[in-house]
Amino acid sequence: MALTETETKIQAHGTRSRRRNPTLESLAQAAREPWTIICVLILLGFLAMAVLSPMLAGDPLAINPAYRLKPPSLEMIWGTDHLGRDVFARAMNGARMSLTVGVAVALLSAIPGVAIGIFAAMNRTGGALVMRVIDAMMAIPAVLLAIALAALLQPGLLTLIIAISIPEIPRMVRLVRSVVLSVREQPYVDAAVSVGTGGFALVRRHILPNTIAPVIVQATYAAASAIIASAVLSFLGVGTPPDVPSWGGMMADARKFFQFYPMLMVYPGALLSLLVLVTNVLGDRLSDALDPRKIARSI
Amino acid sequence: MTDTLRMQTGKTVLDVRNLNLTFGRGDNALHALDHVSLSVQQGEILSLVGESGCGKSATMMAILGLLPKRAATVRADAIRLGETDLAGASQRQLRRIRGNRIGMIFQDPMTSLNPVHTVGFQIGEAVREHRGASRAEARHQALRMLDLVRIPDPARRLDAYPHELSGGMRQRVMIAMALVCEPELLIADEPTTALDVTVQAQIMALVDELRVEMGMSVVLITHDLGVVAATADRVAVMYAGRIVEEGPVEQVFRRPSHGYTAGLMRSLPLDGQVHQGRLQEIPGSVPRLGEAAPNCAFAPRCVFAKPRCAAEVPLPTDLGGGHAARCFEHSAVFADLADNDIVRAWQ
Repeated sequence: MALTETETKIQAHGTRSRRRNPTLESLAQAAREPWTIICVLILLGFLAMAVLSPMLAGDPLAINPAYRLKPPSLEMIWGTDHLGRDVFARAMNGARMSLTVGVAVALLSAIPGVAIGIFAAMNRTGGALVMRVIDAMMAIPAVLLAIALAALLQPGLLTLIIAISIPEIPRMVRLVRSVVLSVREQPYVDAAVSVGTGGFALVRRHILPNTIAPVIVQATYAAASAIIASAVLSFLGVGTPPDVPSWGGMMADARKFFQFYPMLMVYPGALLSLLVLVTNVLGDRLSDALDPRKIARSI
Repeated sequence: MTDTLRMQTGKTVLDVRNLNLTFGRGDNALHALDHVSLSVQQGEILSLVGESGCGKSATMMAILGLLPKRAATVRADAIRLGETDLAGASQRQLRRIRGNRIGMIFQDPMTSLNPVHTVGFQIGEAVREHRGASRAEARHQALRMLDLVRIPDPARRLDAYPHELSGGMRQRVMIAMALVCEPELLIADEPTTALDVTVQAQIMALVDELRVEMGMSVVLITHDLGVVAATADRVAVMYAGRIVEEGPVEQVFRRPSHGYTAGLMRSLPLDGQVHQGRLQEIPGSVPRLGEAAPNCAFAPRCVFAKPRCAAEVPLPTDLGGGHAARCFEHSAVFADLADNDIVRAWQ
């Protein structure tokens, strides 16, 4: 064997050639579609809103009883609410909470969900046990579970996030378990076992990377539903305390004045709907882009 | 194959004695392997032949400990790889052997490579696993292997994903994966079934060249007698979980001595001849798995069967030169096949 020849080839090949990961290719393709671009821009708009709200708008908490329920003016473009607070400032600031809850719940449901799901798929006895607990959790309506959890813990943003995340976990576990069960049977997993890979390395190198795509999609949907859930909980008064502006809280306040000042409810409601819509559309795009059949076609 | 290339030193690489395999327990147990014994010498190619479900792959899976413990019960007097006992080895010990001392290649190269990793990563995995090699070293080894399995422009292919390669290329990558740790034994489970005919010959030639270069032994699982004739040194014919005939390829082809081997030979098309009508087939179908047959499992389909065949299990009859068959009627079988074109061609 011409070893020297090989050596030269090795030396000549110092840098990695451009990666052509099929999944990344498919994502890049989806990112060029107009709908994706529009949704990403809107989402960036919400992000800017959340980050820049102190600069763009006034103090969302400043109460001015003399200035209650005023119509839009140059100073306060969406008017004021029943305590004379700047609706525009509150709506901008509310994006913070919605985005935080969305992202946090996506992560907090995905990470334990993946860990538990993989365990449930790889360990027969323990897995059966875990799945029965998951089944039991699925039997409780998510909002009820969240209300119960919120009532049990100290009210606050963290409580809200935990209360919404826990009912999301079972869905993630089921998804991950079913995906791992099918990935585990793939010939490439057998092939990896036949070269001596096993245990944690097998899961990390071969099973996890082939499970992650549906998890990302599910996490996106979890984010969207968490945003709604947080609004629902705030609306019901078990969300964050009144000094944290939230869209749900704003709608709850506006309910009493809906007949005379409907716009107080429309502003946060419209923002909420738009954010959820955009998140769901992006979830669909992702789901298409990460679909193995689509990836196979785009090759 | 040219006999000058053989490097048989008489050292036994794999020795399996009375391997029994059952799936399930109690009354529902399915007997998949019944007293399977085989041995592979250093540098030789042993071919396991038989139709689907006869236990060819199950034998190798049992040896490698790849069968699910819950469902499969493996019992054997001995399974030895060189000096190592595999029958009593723990999963941990077996893991250290798989990919290191025994390499395995699979039937379908299209699905046997992980779509999310580059081929370089997958070839290097065994070196990282067994030799504790760094990423860079593993990459280096992967490149060397790609070159060894004759993949053109290996440096560029190193970062290719499986979908960018053709079936033949992928099978070469699988071979590189199996051989990167220079194992003593390569198990090739129908390595060419999923490939084009033209590529099949290339892959078999490659396996044979690498066997010579690396001095390893090969167990070739196949149902293609043509491949057996072209590559193997010895052949073991399996039927319904038993080895029914075993011996050096020339001996078995020259003097087929089991009704099933005879049936396989008769059903082969011959090179350079126009066939009149249909090829001969073996009547009936493979028996379902159940209890180990108390007789010759092939008897119901065998044209040579006598009442005795249906009553007791034939033990291997030694026919000389390492050739043995589990057949009461081996003389009748051979007498009938003496004028078969393939048998004549080997005389």
